[in-house]
Amino acid sequence: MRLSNKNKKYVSEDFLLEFEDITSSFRATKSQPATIVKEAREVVCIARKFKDEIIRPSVEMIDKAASEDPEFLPWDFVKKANEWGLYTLFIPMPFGGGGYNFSCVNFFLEELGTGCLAMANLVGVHYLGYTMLTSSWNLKLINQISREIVENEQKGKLCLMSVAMTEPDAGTDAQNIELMNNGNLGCIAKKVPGGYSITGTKIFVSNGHLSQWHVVHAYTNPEKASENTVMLLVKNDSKGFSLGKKEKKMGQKGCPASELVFSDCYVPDELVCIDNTQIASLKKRPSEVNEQIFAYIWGASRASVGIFGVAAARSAYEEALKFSIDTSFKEKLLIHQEWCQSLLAQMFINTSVARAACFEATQANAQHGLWKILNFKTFYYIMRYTPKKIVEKICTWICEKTISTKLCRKITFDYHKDYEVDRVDGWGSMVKVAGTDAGMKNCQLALELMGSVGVRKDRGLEKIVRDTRLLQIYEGTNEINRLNIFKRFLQRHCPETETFSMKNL
Amino acid sequence: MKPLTNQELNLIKKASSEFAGKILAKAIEVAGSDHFSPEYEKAVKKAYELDFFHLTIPESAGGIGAGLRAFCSVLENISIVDTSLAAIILTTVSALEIPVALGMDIYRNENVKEIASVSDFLMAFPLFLDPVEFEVPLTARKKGNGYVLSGNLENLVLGNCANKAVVPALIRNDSNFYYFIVDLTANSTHKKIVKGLGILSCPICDIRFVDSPAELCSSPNGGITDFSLISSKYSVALCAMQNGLMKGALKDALDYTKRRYQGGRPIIHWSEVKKILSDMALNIKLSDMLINQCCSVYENNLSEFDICSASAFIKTCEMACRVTSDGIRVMGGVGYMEDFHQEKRFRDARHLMVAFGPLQAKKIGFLENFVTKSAIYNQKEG
Repeated sequence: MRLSNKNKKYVSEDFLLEFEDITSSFRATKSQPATIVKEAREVVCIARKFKDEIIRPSVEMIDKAASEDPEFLPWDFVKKANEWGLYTLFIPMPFGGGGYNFSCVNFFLEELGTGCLAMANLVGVHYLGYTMLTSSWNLKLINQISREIVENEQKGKLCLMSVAMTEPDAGTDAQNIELMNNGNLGCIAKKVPGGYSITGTKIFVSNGHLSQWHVVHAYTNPEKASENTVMLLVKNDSKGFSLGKKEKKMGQKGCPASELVFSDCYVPDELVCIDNTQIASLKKRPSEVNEQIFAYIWGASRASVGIFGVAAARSAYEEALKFSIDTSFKEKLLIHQEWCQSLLAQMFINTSVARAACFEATQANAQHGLWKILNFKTFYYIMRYTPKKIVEKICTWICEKTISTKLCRKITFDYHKDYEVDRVDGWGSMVKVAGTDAGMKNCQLALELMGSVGVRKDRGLEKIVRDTRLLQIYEGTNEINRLNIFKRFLQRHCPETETFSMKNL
Repeated sequence: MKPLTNQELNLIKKASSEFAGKILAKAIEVAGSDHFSPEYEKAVKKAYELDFFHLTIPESAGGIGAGLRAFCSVLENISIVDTSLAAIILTTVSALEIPVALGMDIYRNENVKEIASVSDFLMAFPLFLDPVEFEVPLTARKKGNGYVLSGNLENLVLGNCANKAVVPALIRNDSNFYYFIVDLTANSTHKKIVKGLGILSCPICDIRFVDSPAELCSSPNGGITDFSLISSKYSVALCAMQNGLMKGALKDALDYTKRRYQGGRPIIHWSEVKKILSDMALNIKLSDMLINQCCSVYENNLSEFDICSASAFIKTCEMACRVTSDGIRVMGGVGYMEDFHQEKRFRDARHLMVAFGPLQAKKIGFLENFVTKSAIYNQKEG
């Protein structure tokens, strides 16, 4: 239906921008390839089967082993996940992977998360590392690492990725461009012939002890870190690299939070994902490029943490439902009592609303984020229906050409619209807060309903409570995410306001 | 019971604060706070020697009759450092409440030096069970001059380290339940240790009784009245424990936010962090006021004590759950680690919340009592 001339006077570009901010899901109905829904169904079924056959039988054992033995690592679990092909499911088909669309990853992670958040994280964090690598648009390196992951999986070997950003004196500072220059960043990258030498420590690295590749952010000048960030790939057997301690966490014990130690660790130029020399030809300043990279990464990863929150909310609700069906209060089953029905309904609302928000974030990513090219119908159907070997050959040829990387970076960083970055990053923060808060609210309601049953280790809920609390902390605390939401969606109403600024103290 | 003077109360507060800061803290430093270690056992014994277990027991029954307010302040100071010991004291005292009121001679503050182990003075009690609204799993049958108990009881606090327990059981052909003292050292009891979310140094077990000898120790009105008495009085003590948790959480949060730099400044200078700390402080002040009011109502023997304590307990638990979560919040990833105490407080607050039954059930049960006790809702028309 075309807008009639007499109604065009009502069109306001500013309002339309705000309208489009909240309607990615709605607009996706026309732009999204139809078979993505089929893909989502498939990955949910894979996740459910894996949850029932592998996760559920070993949840208690892994949590107990990790509590009692400081050296415990869930090698058996990650090997099983590797056997099932979980670490290549979402690697794009041109790179040899399973080729499932990234729009489906959150359905997949929710299903795994309802089995165990720690074990879901053992899979999810690998894709965080992969996403961080792809955000650099270093096509040659992306192709190389993707193929290594796929080939290792086919041989039954592990090739997991982790992300190393947080430092002992810099948590929030390491993740926000506005705070970096005033932060106490200590992981230094010194330019040496043929590469970089890294010295410093990274902490709270999820899966660090189980990963073979680590995506590391280091700084050539920590006092102006926002302009001088280097993203590099470090392999486990690199000279000068060692694994430090594992943190003793309250929950998600099955997923180690590792310390990585770099002592003049040499990283050759071939493993530098992105640095200032590689982006010298771009119009954007290095700090603007870094900000955009962070926005894309957090936009995707925070949506996944939000969906973990949904998984926690759902698990807590399911425990409460089971309890209500089995337990009598005042000589009547709880499930037959209105106040209990209302409580359960509220928990269901919390879960469903958070999930709906997560899908909006997923669509914001699909249409405006890092992976949007994979959702263009033409490109999608070409990849789907062209024989895999041909696509892979063409892709490898393209990726080997330096011009391809330069062109992709030019399009991504110089021609990307600010509103797209706002939308992706803003929605990522929004669902991270909404999903994780929903998870904690449902955990609290379930504990209040279940009493002494809820606090027992052998009944399931207490582990969900311990695991869920971490979701409000990692990938940026919820407080930082709230400020980010203000920056992305609200600051435009008062452009002279600054966010993450000393002036706001 | 005559209330203590301020000076006497301050002496007790000081003693408990020093005990918690030095002896209890040392035990935790040496052996951790995730199990009932030999070092922890020593701290429990010391607490007994300092009469912390005797504060609410009348002098005539071998206690020191210091009253509820003194008891609350001791539990609060202990909980600032570690709640498990406060839970151990509370459990024993709850178990003793009815037998002592009936004049039964089972607890004397004599020969402290002859106490070989904590089992000699600890009493087990199902602190998390609400036997009025939920099913009582034990049955009692008359045998000779006494009774025998049978059935499975979950979550008996101190069941695997006390020699005796006070537990509720149903008597055949009687709709009411009654409390019984049962010997836990008999061969007819079978125990399985239970691990939970919090208070990990306070041992809890599931227990199976098979015709275990027991002695009736309920008042003539039966178990419902007894439970009401115990839960009303010791819900205030639980408020004090939650308050201790909150105060410990705020103290550690303040210390951390002054030391931790982000964006080039201590994070206490960030207004969002100040707001969180302010919310924590507000909740603590409110909780102080609630506990104070409940103790005053108790000391004046007012009829509304049970609704005061019930409402204080519900609200203090909600506040403690928020404050201990905020304690982790301001400390970020560090707050989630076991090396620091915030995550333990988070777990302990939620575990204490389920004492005397689920919180939601308490909220449902509160209204009837509130309407009965409040004249404004009982005025007849005409």
